[in-house]
Amino acid sequence: MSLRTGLWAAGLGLAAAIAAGSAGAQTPKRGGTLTYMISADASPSFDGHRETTFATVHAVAPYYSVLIRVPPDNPASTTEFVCDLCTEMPKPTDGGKTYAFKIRPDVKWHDGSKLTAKDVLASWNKIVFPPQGITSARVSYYSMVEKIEAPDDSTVVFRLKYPSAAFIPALADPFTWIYKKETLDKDPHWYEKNIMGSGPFKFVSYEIGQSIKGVRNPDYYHKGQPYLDAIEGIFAAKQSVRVDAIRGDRAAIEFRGMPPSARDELVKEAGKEIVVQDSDWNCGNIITANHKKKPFDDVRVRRALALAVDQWKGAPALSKIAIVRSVGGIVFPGSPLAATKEELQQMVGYWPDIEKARAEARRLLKEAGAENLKFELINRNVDQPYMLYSEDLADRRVEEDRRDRRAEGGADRSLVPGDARRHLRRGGRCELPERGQSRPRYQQVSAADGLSRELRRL
Amino acid sequence: MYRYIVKRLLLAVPTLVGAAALVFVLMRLIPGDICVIRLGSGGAHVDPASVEACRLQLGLNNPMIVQFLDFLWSYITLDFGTSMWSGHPVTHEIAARLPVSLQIALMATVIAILIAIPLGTISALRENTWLDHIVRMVAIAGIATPSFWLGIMSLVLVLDITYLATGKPWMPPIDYVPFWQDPIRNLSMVLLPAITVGYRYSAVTMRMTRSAMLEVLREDYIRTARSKGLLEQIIVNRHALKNALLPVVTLIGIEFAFLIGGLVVTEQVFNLNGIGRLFVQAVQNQDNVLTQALVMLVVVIFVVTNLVVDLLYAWLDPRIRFS
Repeated sequence: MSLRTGLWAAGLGLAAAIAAGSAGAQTPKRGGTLTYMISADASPSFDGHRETTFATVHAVAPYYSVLIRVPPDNPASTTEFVCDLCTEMPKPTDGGKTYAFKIRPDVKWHDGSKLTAKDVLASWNKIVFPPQGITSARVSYYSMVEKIEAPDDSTVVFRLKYPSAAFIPALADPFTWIYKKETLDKDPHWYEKNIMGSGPFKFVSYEIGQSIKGVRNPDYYHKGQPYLDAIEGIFAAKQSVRVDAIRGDRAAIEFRGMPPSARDELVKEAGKEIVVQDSDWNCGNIITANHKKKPFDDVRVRRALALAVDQWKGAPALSKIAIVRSVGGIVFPGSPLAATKEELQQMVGYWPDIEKARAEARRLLKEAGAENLKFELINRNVDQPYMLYSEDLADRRVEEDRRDRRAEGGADRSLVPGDARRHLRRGGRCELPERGQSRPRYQQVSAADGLSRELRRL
Repeated sequence: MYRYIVKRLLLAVPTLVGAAALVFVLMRLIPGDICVIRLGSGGAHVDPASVEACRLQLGLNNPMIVQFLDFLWSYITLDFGTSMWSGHPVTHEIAARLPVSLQIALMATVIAILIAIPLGTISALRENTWLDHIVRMVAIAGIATPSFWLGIMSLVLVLDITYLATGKPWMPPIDYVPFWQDPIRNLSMVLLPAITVGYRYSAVTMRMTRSAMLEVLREDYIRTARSKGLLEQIIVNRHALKNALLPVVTLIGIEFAFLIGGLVVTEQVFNLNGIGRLFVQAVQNQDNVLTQALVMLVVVIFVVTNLVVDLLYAWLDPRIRFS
């Protein structure tokens, strides 16, 4: 049995930037080239509608416009949305089922032609109602949309099947780039291999799998922006490379985040030259069970899995080594829509008393006839925060084993945590020891899809 | 000699077909589906119709034998296909990475030869002296030290030394520029990885040079040369070293061919966009077309390198005739 886990992560963690001055509000300086690190390998295509990795956004988003977005000067906001291509945020009509957006008249494509509502319509139709043979990763976000129309060159109307508070936030998804209708009509796959948008930067070049370069768009419709003359994104999946690159001034920033130890090292060395932006990550601690297979078809087993995770002790412990910190629910912590701590603690998986939660988990497993449940947890082989999370899990399991042995007065023959850590770092598979067993059993996994595997007994 | 070369090249054909069949079968034994990975790797909902369309487009629904014959025919017609992952022609994907791998392999080979052959020879000539012990120690350290660790350490060292010296840490560039575009930037990027790889390479070669030289130096014809009163320099250079180089040349050839696709970890440490990294990505992504092309490339490099090594044999040992 295998489970695919994820610490699904998106958002800003400990982004570090070499810059002059303090982290406070500054008058923007004009000019210069920003070299930044993209903490992943290049995605298979440039098409934001198709791709799901942040690497696509980091690399390609600067070349495109979107209809609406989260305020760029307050990206942590979960309730504010502002126009990019539209002139003002519309008020819904028809009982919350119709949204009419007016499109700016001064937007030009990088080829010099004028962007109209027809382009916005074609792009959104591709996202919401992809034609056969075209993949759109976010169709399910827009299940409330019935129809999209462009009655004239400056208006786009979204008609919904039912009013939905999720519509505007979904519309502000950063992957929903606006493409040129004429190009899409000729070849709907064109944007997979090419870049031509209306965003703040004009695409210059792409070195396959290595870097992407752009220059300032002088005709950008947000007058006075962008401040930079040029940008260059360099792909580097390894964290050590990214830290060294910032340390050695080969890059100025990375937008994803780094662990506290790397941050502290950079701050120590660069002193006043470095600015650290520290915020929560949107990390989904998701365990996805195959509910069509036994025993995960039983809700009691799935519930037991949720009960077994100690969120409240896990987060502060992990914050010392990884970019996870606050415990939250579905909505970003700090948002006015987010559940309070008290509300969270009522939910399964967030109970404050972990012993009580685990006792309940064992009871549920026994009741479901899955008392000796054993499963395979598949994790992503990415340093931050995925691998560190599973390393911590492995360490804690080994520590529990050691503690039990000491209590029993037996010889301590278990592995030190570092063994599990080193093995997992190599992308290995670890069958953690059952209580009473002497040591974990390891086996190496083939490269497969870059996932490391961890076998764990509940 | 030309007949020999043609014969060798013709003999390479079954090798290539065998390698092609092997990689074709092995890639299809790996569980998973590139269409699912490509369309849903980020957790997106994947429409089964899209997966089916992708499989149709990539020809994955065809019978295995048809796929294999298509693959062979495409290579005969020099159409190497397009990457199943990125949609770019595999020639573009490889051409973007080959220069950096080739340059590092060449530089590491030169570094290895410059270090290994003189030191290996000296070590053999001064057997069991302090000089021999030092050379052996250096060689064993080189074999025992993983290149990637040496790479990480050398980077940290460069950063620390420049920080202490100038107050501002410096590191080599992390984006590759061809030599003819910017020689200084190019060399400052590839020199460190070439040295770290070259050191391990030289250590292996040094050991081989020493043992081959020791064996040759004990041969009767060397004793005869010495008894005839020949200068030691002539004995070593003309009679001993040339003969001792036969196994060394073979080793250098094999190592060189290996370096083209085998520098996976070193490439990651120095953020080099090389063939080794592409290899891992292609396997991870289940990009059969690209993996097959890369394997064939490495096989061709091995075949050509072996041919060059065999041709060098005749120059080193005139008793060897091509027949």
